[in-house]
Amino acid sequence: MSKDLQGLLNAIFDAENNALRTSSSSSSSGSLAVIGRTVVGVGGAASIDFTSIPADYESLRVVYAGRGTAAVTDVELRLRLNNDSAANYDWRNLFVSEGGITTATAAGETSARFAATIAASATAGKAGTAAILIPSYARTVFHKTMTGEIGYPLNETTGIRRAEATAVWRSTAAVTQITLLLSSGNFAEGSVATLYGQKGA
Amino acid sequence: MADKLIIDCSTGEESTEALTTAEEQDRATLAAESEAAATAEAGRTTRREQAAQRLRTIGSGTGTVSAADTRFIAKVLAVVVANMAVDPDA
Repeated sequence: MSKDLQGLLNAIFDAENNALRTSSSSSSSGSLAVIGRTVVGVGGAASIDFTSIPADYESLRVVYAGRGTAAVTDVELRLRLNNDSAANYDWRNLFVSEGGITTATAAGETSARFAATIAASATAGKAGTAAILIPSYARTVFHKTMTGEIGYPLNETTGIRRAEATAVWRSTAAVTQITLLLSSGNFAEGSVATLYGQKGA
Repeated sequence: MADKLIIDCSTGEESTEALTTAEEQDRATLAAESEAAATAEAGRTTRREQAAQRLRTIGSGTGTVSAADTRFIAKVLAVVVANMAVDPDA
């Protein structure tokens, strides 16, 4: 992607963000506002970090669309909160794929797994998607339980996969930072991540 | 290796930072863990496929069903029933 095109995209997104921020200031219960958004540029990104997340909302929603650069069909999509890389994450994923329905689970890991996203060996032009919900992120009573819906089409025939995920961060701290990671490689150019805040939900 | 992409939600500003040595090590650890999990899952998939093939062979009606085959069928059924969402006696 050229720098001119990247600049134009950023300008459009900035304008949209500002409009949404303005509308959210008088928003009704349950409305979504864009807190942050990025489009990965030339060279890719090792990780995507949303920092200084305001505590103004009831829930956070991370929406991702993109792919990885590793020379495989798919890589694990991972998430960390508040840059905590200690063994504080538990998760279970449910996969629906050409092989049937399977699950995977782990406890005490250093990041939460949200199934997978496609990578360089998947059919060209495809993107993996994820929508991750973090309710009560600013409250400090309970550990943070997150849920996710993930789609990752490896090809146009049998490899159209779907996953559901639940993950827990063993901390009562308010969430101020969200980091998206891949198990190998980088986020490819053109991948998009958006952080929404939801009020009253 | 690509840089980290950082979005400061208080200002909307975007920036990049090179990975620290610790973060590079963290990525290597994550990759190794992922590979180990994938290998384990591949092993489970292989065993499932082998079990399915054995059942297909038993079900084909050719040859004799041995006592070992009968025990194998019973074990598979036990797993299936344990995961049934309905009452198997209903």
